[in-house]
Order: sequence, then C-alpha cells, then structure tokens
Amino acid sequence: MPRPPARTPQVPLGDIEQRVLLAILRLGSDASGVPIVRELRRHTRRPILLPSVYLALRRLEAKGLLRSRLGEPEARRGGRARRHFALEPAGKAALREAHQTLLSLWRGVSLDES
Amino acid sequence: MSPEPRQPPAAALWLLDRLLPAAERDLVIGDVTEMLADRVEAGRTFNRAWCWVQTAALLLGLSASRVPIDSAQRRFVMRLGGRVTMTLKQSVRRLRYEWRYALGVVIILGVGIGPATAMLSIVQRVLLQPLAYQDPDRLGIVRINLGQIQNHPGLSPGEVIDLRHTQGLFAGVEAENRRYEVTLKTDDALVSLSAVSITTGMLPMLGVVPVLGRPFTEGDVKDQPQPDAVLMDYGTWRSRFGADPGLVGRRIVLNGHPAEVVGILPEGFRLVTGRAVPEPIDIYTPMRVTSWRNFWGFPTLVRLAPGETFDRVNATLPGLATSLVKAYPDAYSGARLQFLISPLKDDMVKTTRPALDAAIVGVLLLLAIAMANATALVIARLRTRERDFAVRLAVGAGRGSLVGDVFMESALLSTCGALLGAALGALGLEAARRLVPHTLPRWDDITLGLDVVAYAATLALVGLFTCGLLPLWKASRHVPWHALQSGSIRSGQADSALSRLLLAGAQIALTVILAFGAIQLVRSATRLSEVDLGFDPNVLTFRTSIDFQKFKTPAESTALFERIRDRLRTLPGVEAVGGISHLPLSGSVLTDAWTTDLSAQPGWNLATANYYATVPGYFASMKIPFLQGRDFSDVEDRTAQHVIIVDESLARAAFPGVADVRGRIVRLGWGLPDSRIVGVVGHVRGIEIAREVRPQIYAPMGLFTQNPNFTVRASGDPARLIGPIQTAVKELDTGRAVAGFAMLTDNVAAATSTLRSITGLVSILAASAGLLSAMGLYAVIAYLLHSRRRATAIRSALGATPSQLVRLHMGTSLRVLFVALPIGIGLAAAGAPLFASLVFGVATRDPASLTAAAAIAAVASLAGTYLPVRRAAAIDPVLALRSE
Repeated sequence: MPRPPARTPQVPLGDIEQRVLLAILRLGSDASGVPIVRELRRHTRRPILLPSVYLALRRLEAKGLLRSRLGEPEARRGGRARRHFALEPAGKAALREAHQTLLSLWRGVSLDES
Repeated sequence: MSPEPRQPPAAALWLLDRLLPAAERDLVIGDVTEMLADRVEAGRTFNRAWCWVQTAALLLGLSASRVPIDSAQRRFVMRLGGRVTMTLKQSVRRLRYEWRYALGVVIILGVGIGPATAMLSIVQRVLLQPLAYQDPDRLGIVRINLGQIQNHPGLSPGEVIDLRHTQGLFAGVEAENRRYEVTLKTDDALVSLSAVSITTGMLPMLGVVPVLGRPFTEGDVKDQPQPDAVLMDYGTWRSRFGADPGLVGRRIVLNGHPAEVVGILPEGFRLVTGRAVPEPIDIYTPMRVTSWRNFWGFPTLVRLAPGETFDRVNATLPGLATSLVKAYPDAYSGARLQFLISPLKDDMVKTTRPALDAAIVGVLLLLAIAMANATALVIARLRTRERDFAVRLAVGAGRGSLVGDVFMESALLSTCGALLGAALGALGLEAARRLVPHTLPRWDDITLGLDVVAYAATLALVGLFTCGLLPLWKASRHVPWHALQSGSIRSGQADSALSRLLLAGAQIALTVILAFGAIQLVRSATRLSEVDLGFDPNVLTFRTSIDFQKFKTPAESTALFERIRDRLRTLPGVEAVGGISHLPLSGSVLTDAWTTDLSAQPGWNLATANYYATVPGYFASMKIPFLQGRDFSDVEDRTAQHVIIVDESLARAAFPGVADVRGRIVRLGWGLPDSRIVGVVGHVRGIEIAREVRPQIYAPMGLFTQNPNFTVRASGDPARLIGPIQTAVKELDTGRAVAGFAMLTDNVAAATSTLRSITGLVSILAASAGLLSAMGLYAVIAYLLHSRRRATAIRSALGATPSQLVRLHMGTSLRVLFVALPIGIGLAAAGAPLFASLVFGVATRDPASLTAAAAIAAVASLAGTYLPVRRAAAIDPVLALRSE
C-alpha cells in the first residue's frame, strides 16, 4: 500500500501528542501500548490517563505521523495481539519543528531574571 | 476474600469488546490485561476496581469520540444526549417536589414486585429448571400398581431386567437400592455414613461423570454384602477427607471391610429416589440386579430410547405386565400389575406443585393489585398536570418532548420500584429459607442473585408500560385549550372518577380472594396441628445398625437390641425406651398383606397393612395407648413367637362387631407365619397427618429382624443424652456407629412444613394486598375529595357539620364496597376448588372464611377512606373557596 505523502503538519503538535511521539522515539523497536504508558509515567508527575494516550495515538496515526503493525497474540495479553508503533518521517519532522519552535521561543529568555 | 484476578472481569471485557472501535480492540483490551498482570505481580490490590475504572474511562473516552468531530450525526447524538439529560434533570426535580407521590408509586411497585421476585425465583428453580442430568427430559421414573399397592416407586429386581429386555423402548433401565447406613472406621471413631447401591449403568445413563477417578465398571460388582469399590459424594470428600485427591484409589474401612474409593462425584450431585427431596448420600456402591421377584424396593429410572415418548411407552407396557403376571403366578398371584413411567421432574414436583401454584396465583393477584394501584395514582396525578401540559403545548412544545417527559418519569419510578422490589425479594427469600428448610425439591439450590434482579427489571418494565403508556395515551389525545379553559371546578370529571373507582373496586375484590386463601390456609394449618397423632412425638430417636456377620441369628441380634434398651433405661432421666423398624412420619414403611381367612393364599389381592417390627417397650415409650391386651414380652421377642399387635382400625376391619379380638389368628403375607393377636393399640398417623393410611400390624423384632430406630422418652433436655447413649451403645460393642439423632417432633414438623410454608407465604401476600388496596383507596378518595373541595366548602359554609360531611363522603366508598365485595366473594368461591388439595379440615368454600375475608377487605378499604374524609370534613371554607 502506498504510504501517504509526508507533509508538513498544518496544526502544531499538542502537548500529549508530542510526549507520545517522544516516548515512541525513546523506546525505539519496543514501542507498544504498555511500554509507552510506562515511559510517559516515568517522566511525568501528573497521572497519565489511558484514554488520552490512545486518543493521541489515534490522532497521530490519522495525521500520518506514525505507523503501526500488529504483532503475535500473547497469552499475557489475554490472547490479544500487541501493536507496535514507529515514527513516520513526517512524525520526526513534526517533532523537530516543535523542538525548534520551543528552542527559538526560549532563546534569550531567563526565568530567573523576570 | 477472593484472590486477585489475572483477567479483567468478564463483563468489563464484554463491554469493551462490544463498544470499542474494531481497530483498537486488541490494542486496548490487550494493554489493560497486560497492565493488570503487572499490577498483580507487583502485589497491588483493588485490581478489580482498577479494571472497572479503566473500563469506564476507556469507554467514555474512546467510544464517545468515535464519531468524526464535524458530522451531523454527532450533532444529533449530542442534541439527543442533551435532551435526555435535560428531561432526566426535570423529572428528578419534579419527583423531588412531589416526593409523596413518587414515594407512593415506588412503595406500591416495590411491595408488588418484591414477593413476586422471590416467588418466581423459587418457582423457576423448583418447577422450571431442568435437573442437573444430561438431557433430563428424556429421563423417567417407574412406579407400579400391584394389587392393593398403588403408585409405589420401587420395583423388584426381576422387573428391572424385564424392562431392560423390552425391545426399543428404553436407552437405559437402571435401579438403585434404598438408602442404608454404613459405618466408616476412622483412626479414633466409628462414623455413620448414608449409602445407596446403584447399578453400574446408572451414572452413565444420567450423564454424570466423576470429577476424580473413574465410574463403576462391571468388575466392581461383587456377590457379597460388603462392597469392594465405592464412589464418594463431593461434600463428604471435602468434609470428611479434606478434599484429599490422594483418596481416590485408596481403601477405606466400611462396616469392617476395606473398600476402594474409585472416584469422587461432581459437586451437588443428588440421586433422585422417588421422593420429593433427594436425600444427601455419602457413599455409592455398585450392585447387580438379580432375577428375584419377592421384594419391591428398587427405585428404577429409565432413559427413553431416541424417538420414544412417555405416552407411547406407557401404552406399550400393559402388554408386558399382563405377560409377567401370567408367567410368574407365585410372585403376582394373579393380581393386577401396572407400570407407570412419568418424567422424572414431574414426579419430583408432584407433591409441591399445588402449593406452588397457589403461591403463584397469590403473587399474580398481588401484582395485579399493585399495578392497578400505581396506575390509579399516576392517572390521578396526570390530571393535575393537564394544565402544565396544555401550557407547554400552547407555547410550542413538541408532543414528542412531552412523551419523553412522561416516559422518563415512569422509567425513573419503575426502576426505583424494581430496586426496592429486588431488595424486598432478596430479604423475603432469605427469610423463607430460614423459616422453611428442605421442604421443597432442590431447596438448597434456590439462590438469590442476578435472576431475581432480572425478574425485578422485567416486572419493572411491565410497571413502566402500565404507568407510562396508559397516561401517555390519555394525555396525547387531549386538546390543549380544553384543559386551559377549564378551571379546577371541571377537573373532577365523571369519566376519570369512574375509571379510578373501578380500579379501586378491582383491588378490593382481589384482596378478598387473597384474604380468603390466607384464612383457609391458616385454618388448615391450625386444624392439622390439632390432629391426634396417636402418639406423643416428644421422644429422642436414633438409628442403630449391627454387624449381622457377628450377630448371626435373630435370637442373637434381638438379645443385643434388648441389652441396648435395658442399658439406655439406666441412664439418668430416661423414662422409657423401645425400638421400631420404621418410625412414624419418616417417609418409609413396609407393607404386608393380611387376611382372617386362614384358607386363603397370601397374595397381592389381599388387604394391606403397614408392618412394623418392634423392640418390646416401644408402645410405652411412644405413649401409644393399649385398648386391649399387652405389649410383647422379651421372651416372645427373643424366641420369635408367632404373635402380633394390631391397631384399632385393623381390629375393626378384620373382626367387625367383636369386642375382644385377643387370641384371634391373622394370616400374613411374605411367608410370615399365621400370628395370634396379643394386643390392640390406638391408630398412629404414621404416613400422613391428614388421614389414616392403611391399618397397622406390629410384630416382635425376633420374627423379622431389621436394624431398629430406638425411641427414648426422657425428662429434661434430650440433647444431653446423646453423648451417654453413644458411649453406652459403644460399650455393648455392636461394631457399628449409631446415627441420626433427632426428635420425632422434627418428623411431625417436616410433615406439615409444606402447608406451613405456603400458609406463611400466602398470608404475607394477603397482608401486602390489604395494605396496598387500603393505600390505593386512600389515594383515589383523597383525590376525589380534593376535586370536590369547592362543593364541600360550600356545604360547610352553609352549615354542614364535619360528621355530616364524613357521612356524605363515606358513601362513595360504601357504594364501591357494595359492588366489589360480592364480586370478590364470588371469584374466591369459584376458584376455591382448584386448591382443594391444600385445604384440610375446612370446607372448600367455607362461608365463615369468605365472610372473614370480605370483612378484612372492607376494613382495609374503609380505613383507607376514613383518613382523607376526616381531613376533607375539617375544611376551612374561606381558604378553600379563596383558592378557586
């Protein structure tokens, strides 16, 4: 199936979307549902709500920023297949852009002085 | 506490599976399952609750946003959701404002639904649910009619073989023996267990497979009295052997002989034995049927061959019976033999069916009253909301939104009513279980739970329809300006008043029926408790079994029984001791033929009597009076003299007009010798309390030795005698355990328990009905008076006294009563014969009971009327007229 063309996202990434993408990037080939949630919990003080993570994944995939593939069914998951996530080039581009935006915004700003 | 689950609750999984988008099911459900496993391994608690919180969050979060954001569909859903929420809020607010009305409807529905759910749970379990056997509708039980013996649930072994040899009728014919006692020897004690012998094909025919070990094989059957192989009841395995799986294959010592436990039967398995309540059995032993034809003591179950029906089988069997009677003249002596095969479940519930039917009718009547009541209340109130509706219609409200309004309100009320009903039903069932243990078949199985709630929900739906749709129809056909025009003067219109009075009248009539049923049953129960049993049941009884290998001759065993009796007599507080083969009202008995014609051949065409073997002293211990003669002497007992004691009814039937029957000879069946009467005793109600069943013959134990039940009459608390009795019997070295300590009063209680339980239930139903119809009348009359308050106020202003006003308004109620009471009485009298079998000692259409029932209904309805009338009569005319 031809992949949708990578495009510059029209809408900037939301906070949770950005975190989910980063978590997937950090996890690399291990990125699937539970590890993503675990990774987010490890780096965030606020509680992570499962539905918000799944909604973010759903939106990111719809925007063509990440792709997923189904693994084998696992007994530990009650016989359900695991779904692995990986970043599309557009996803990386979006992250980069978000990072750039933040960096440029932070440039020349110091919280101590204000 | 239950262990932490490794899987999310099934219901949560089901919900997620149904409601999540297909693309995300595996991801989400798998993740939740995996996280749950992580939590359990990390030793975290409240995992079930965690699962449910996650499920709720996921369903709300993921399925709600399933619809694409900008679609028209979503806008519709949102609008509908908003409207539902708004309607819900409005309904709650309105019901809170009119809380008396809401509470009234909820209580009425609850009181109607509660008993109904409890009763339906019982009926569902007892009557409707299939037996826990494979394909139970194809299973039947064989009863026989043989000469004077009718409907007997036991065959002789030869007949079992005959039935097996019929071509193509049965897929299986399997027999069981009567329950008996075996003694289990443990390390430190002798324990009595109940046992039943079954043919090896019985369990396969029922489709029952041991949970551990194996079923019986033909090789397990040995031609010796002591079994080599036994199957064990699940409960016994758990309670006596700590559910030790190593027991299977091991030997236990039963009656002094080793026997291998070859398997454990499934939990809750019960063998049907031709009685209403299957008894708990500890041990099953294998048996083989012989060709004997001298003892009709083997309950026999059959499985129909594929394609056969009970009717067809019953039509075929008379041919077999006729040929058997011809082929075995010695066994049947030309008597009429008949096999009757009926479905197993029908046979089990036969005795309790009329009682349950009565209870169902009661429940349905109560439900009808509750529904009529609730409907009357809702209609009454809807009238007061007419103007509200009219105003809303006039300013442009859609008819649909008003429909939704009424619907929501009804749904709220019936849900609350159902919840209250479920709670009441649960309480009722629990109370019933405590009050009446073990009188219904499968009573142990009757549990409360989802089924009752489901019943309540279903009944609430009925409530919803009656409460919601009827007024809805009334409201929607109304023309708005009509109601707007009319002031409150017009609101007491004749048509609605009439319909409500009709509803009130119907309730009164139904109350009469229920009250009549309750009164008849209460009177029956009272009469039954007043019956002279012919004995004083305040005796302690227990069973003994002896090792017949050790005490070989009747003289030896009889001497042992007498030693036990004499030893027990020396215990402190013991007044009298005796023994008998079958206790009165124990449900089992031996019967024998008798005649005074000493040239007659004993056979099945002779009259029959109950035959008991006694240990001398029995009559004194039971306080059974001697009308003539005396008890057996110990010498007569031990030397097996040919003597008998008969009851007064046999003396009358055998020797009509003879004052003194002592010394007369009676010929007995079963190869027993002709015997001389040495005494006549009073008749004992030994089979049923309600009527005399067969005359009675008593013989000394030495003549027909069996394991006796001892009867011990003592002063003080009999329970303290149990220990000393056990010690005393053990000292005499019978080699067997004693068992079954009970008061004979328990047998009497059990014999009346079905009637007592049904009486209690119907009384509760009748009381609820009285209360409900009083409430219903209260509501209707209060409403009527409210709508007439202008007229009342004018009368009062013109000088009518409160007592005159009370008389005036009571007239309405009295007119309703005059119509409703005769109708109720007529219906009760018409339906009474249907339940004649439940009534004892009272005429089926007893006028006194009918009158009392009518009086109860009248008092309830007048009480319901009086309160609102009093209030209306105390009206302040100025206030009432000003509000117009």
